[in-house]
Amino acid sequence: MKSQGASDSLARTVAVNAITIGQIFYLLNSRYLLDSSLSLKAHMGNKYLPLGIAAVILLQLVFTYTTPFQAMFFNEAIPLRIWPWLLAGGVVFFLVVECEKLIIRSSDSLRRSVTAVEAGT
Amino acid sequence: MTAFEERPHSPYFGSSDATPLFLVLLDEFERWSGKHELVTKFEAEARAALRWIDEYGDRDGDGYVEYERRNKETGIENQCWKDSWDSIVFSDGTLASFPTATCEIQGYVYDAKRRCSRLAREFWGDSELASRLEKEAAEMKQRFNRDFWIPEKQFFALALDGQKRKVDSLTSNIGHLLWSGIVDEDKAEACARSLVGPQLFSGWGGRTMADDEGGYNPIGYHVGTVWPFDNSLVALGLRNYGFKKEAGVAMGIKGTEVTKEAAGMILADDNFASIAAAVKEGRTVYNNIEKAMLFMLPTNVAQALVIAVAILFGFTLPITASQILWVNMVTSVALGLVISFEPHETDVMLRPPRAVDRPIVTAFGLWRILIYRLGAPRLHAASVLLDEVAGSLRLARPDSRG
Repeated sequence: MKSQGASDSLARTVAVNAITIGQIFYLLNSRYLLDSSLSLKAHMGNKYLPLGIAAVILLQLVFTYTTPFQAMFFNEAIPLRIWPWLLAGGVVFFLVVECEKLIIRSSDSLRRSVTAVEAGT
Repeated sequence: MTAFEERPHSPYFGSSDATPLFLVLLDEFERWSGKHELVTKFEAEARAALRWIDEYGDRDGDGYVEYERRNKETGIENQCWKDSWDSIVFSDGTLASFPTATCEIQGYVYDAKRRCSRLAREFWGDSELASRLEKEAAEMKQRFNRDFWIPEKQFFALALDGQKRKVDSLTSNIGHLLWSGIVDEDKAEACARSLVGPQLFSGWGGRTMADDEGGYNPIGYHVGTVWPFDNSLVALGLRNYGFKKEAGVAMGIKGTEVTKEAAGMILADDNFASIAAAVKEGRTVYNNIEKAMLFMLPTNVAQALVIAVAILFGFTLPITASQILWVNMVTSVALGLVISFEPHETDVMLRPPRAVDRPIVTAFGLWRILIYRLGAPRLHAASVLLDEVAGSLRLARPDSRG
């Protein structure tokens, strides 16, 4: 930030949103320990899932763009052009975790050992 | 048959465990009902029973109650609860000689003395007797754990035979010992393991004798078959020493109070299908707890790490404490709560049962926490990236403090 003159508070606000977006994608990962989270169908089973995500998005917008919250947390409004980068970061991490699952699923011995560890044996 | 003096209902039915069990019952009745008049009323009988144990029950003065039939015509050989002729048998199949001191009778005697010590103190006003019984019981427990324990097999001998040899078959009797409380704490776990292990536990009940013993017979009267009352005492014994899960399941409607007291789980509607439904629910609840942990721990660890690194190396805090609180509140409530509504996974009933001592976060869970931790530098990366982006898009603000 400093080299380009962007403020600490903008950087922090961006960091908070980066974490939160990461959390939303990681939630999609976490719904299946080893099975793929890579389809829309995989996320139809829990009707509270879209509600939860919508709530987080709403809260983050309030957190980032409303004056009282900006005052309380020393936030700064994030320019719209930043958001695609943050979303991209979340997607990349999501794909990394999905790759890990894929590797475990495609190797018999890995899958067996993870299943054994998970059964506690 | 009885009129012709034919067994099994001949007039001579010897029993050496009824006497200590009478004392156990007297105390148990008072504990359950609070009716101490009966304890006062039976004081003389109870004292006579205590005398019988020491003077007649212990025939040779070795401190243990043993039995041997006198009526060789119609008398019963084994005067313990396993009263069939072949029940007291060595591991290699040879019958034990007489007089026989079976282990569970010693347990009953120990229990009877301890219980009568309470009755003597509280209802008979005889504190001298109370202290004597207490002392005798303590000594007996010490001796018993020395004389009956088979260290190389890690269980208690079924009996000491006429030559004071340890009858070395694994039987349900060790469960009676847990019920009586005569087992030293350091031997209880080995007993519990044997009782729920594959040799004694058939899958729906505890066998009277382990299936790899020489005397074992799956349809033998006391050398293999499963007895409900025997299992009740085993379950109570397991409960006594804190092995509630091992003690199993009780029926809530038709089940006896005894089983309900001992069981780790009570089936409120007496319906076995409820077990399957409960297992399904339970597995999903457990899965969801685990998923919630695997969701929250890595992110918390990551955040903590970012802050720790920043403080350690004197960087500008990439995120303030109150912002972290905000993130935790928003994601734990709105996203963490979502996980508790996760539906059953399709193969939830096809998986093998999980080990009872499985930790909630496994080695695999730790791995997940670690990889997310590697994701933590992403925060820094994001800041750096933003630096670049901000520069290239000329977003830098003129009033910036940086």
